[in-house]
Amino acid sequence: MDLLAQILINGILLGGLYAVMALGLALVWGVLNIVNLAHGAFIMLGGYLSWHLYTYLGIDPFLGLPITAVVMFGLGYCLQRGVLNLIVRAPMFNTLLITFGLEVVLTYLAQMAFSADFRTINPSYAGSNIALGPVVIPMARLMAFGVAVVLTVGMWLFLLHSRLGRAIRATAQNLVAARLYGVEPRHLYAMTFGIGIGLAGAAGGLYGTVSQIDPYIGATLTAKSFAIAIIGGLDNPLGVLVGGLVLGIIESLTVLYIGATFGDVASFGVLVLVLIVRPSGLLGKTA
Amino acid sequence: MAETTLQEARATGSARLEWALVAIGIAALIAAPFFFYPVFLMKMLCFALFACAFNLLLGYTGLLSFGHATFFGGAAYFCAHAVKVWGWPPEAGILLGTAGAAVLGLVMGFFAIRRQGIYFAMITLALAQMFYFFCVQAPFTRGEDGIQGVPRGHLFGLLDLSQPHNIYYTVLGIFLIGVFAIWRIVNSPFGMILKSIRENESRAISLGYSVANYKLAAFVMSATLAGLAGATKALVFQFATLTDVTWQMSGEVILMTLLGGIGTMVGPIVGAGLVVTLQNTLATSGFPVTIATGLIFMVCVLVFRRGIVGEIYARLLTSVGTGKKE
Repeated sequence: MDLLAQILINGILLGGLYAVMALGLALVWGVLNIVNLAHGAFIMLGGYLSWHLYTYLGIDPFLGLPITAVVMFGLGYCLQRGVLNLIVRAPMFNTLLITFGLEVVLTYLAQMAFSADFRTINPSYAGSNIALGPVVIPMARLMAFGVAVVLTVGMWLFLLHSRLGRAIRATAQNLVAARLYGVEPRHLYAMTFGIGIGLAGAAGGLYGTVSQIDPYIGATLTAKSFAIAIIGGLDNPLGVLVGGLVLGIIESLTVLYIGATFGDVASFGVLVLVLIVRPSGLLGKTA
Repeated sequence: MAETTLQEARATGSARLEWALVAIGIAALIAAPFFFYPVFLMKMLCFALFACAFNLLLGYTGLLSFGHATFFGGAAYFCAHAVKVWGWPPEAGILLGTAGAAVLGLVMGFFAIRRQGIYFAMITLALAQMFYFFCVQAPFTRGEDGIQGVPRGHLFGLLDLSQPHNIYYTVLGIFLIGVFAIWRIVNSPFGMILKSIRENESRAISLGYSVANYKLAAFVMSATLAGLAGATKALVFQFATLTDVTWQMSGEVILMTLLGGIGTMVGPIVGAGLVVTLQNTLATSGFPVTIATGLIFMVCVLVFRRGIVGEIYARLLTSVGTGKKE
């Protein structure tokens, strides 16, 4: 029973992180109608950026998150403005292919630049734990979870109440009407993609503190984000949070009852299952 | 009246030209091992068949699979295991690999054809990743090392395949049979229905075709032929590794098809030839191959969606069109 409680806690902490990973993917998918297969590669880049900030400049990974997010936002904005805008109205087929090409390029650029070694961000408090009765909560994971929840709820409030957030939602619902109300789509698309990539970068920074980064984590993380976005729906960050928690708990249970190497297999299994049984998502509607 | 005969004459003329080009192409392939390194040519042929098989699904049925590495790499593992560990003759190994790929195709297709577009692509991707993890874990694949030192053996107990020219002509034969099979499928009534599904699925349903069955059949055929290519490759290179089941391999075959021209018979062959040549050239130059392939991929999607052969066809069609106006 204690073990199960511990596993559930682990799953929830992991799930919060997963939610931030999927947040950017769901946003870009919902608004731009681009399923970004390079999303995981951007998470990986964010992780490396945080790692470099910590290792060479001594910036705490949590304090460095805004820097990572802003840099990644800039990268995403430029990519959308320069490259992806050319295909934003093209059939989904083309967007899949171009983001796949991007993922390959980013992965192998990272391999050249950072080598294929595992990297972990290890701040001084990485090993400390909080004991809650029989359950042990790792400090770094708890902090990552806290940041993840803040980001998700912040994103929800941003989309709901801010001027830009409303413009983004309006564009997702009806591009023509949004244009009539003065939304400039090219700028807005680039902002949305930038925010999506910025979130991916932040997720990468968090991932680096609780797990290991190598250049090849992208594909798996993209698939996980995709599964979560499907479970949670594209129109609501809170749905994504639930989706992340579901996947996190399923994965932790799999690791406990089936075996440590089957965690990733479980997430792909969940993806297939959800796509077959309920492709419209458990909570929301998908595009 | 005169105009139709002129068009007919043009049509038969272009058909004759096509047959002449095919004959020249086959003759060139027969002569090629006397001028080029046979292993390089065989690599080209295997990937060309793989790309053609993939194109049967993408180009003629309109289904984008992100999981074809499963069939290619899976068949390579089955064939390599049967030949090396069980001591099967090469033809039986290739048959087993191909049959294994067909079974995998049936399973993956059964799940994937239930959904369309992006969902179809993601189901194939997820199942392919699951197969990849299976290959990492399963003892018979030998994990990171792969199955190495696969003997080529004697074809039908007669032909010694360790001789470069013997195996080359065997591979060429397999390639021609595979491409001919695809050509027959595409130009059969069955192929016409596949194309109608590609063009307008709801219309095909309303005409009374059970689209799901046709899609599944196309998926299994594509997987089977991809498996034939993979099993043959295992014999050519005498090993089977994890590289062949990664999603990058699934992407590579998409690139080959895209570069050559989706939905054309010759396109995937040209595309595979170019990509393999590029990889071999870059491998010695020190420039990272994968980055180059990724960049080409992006450029292709951005500005060059019809591919090389598709572009040539489009040019020819416009020239015929303007000719009619004169």
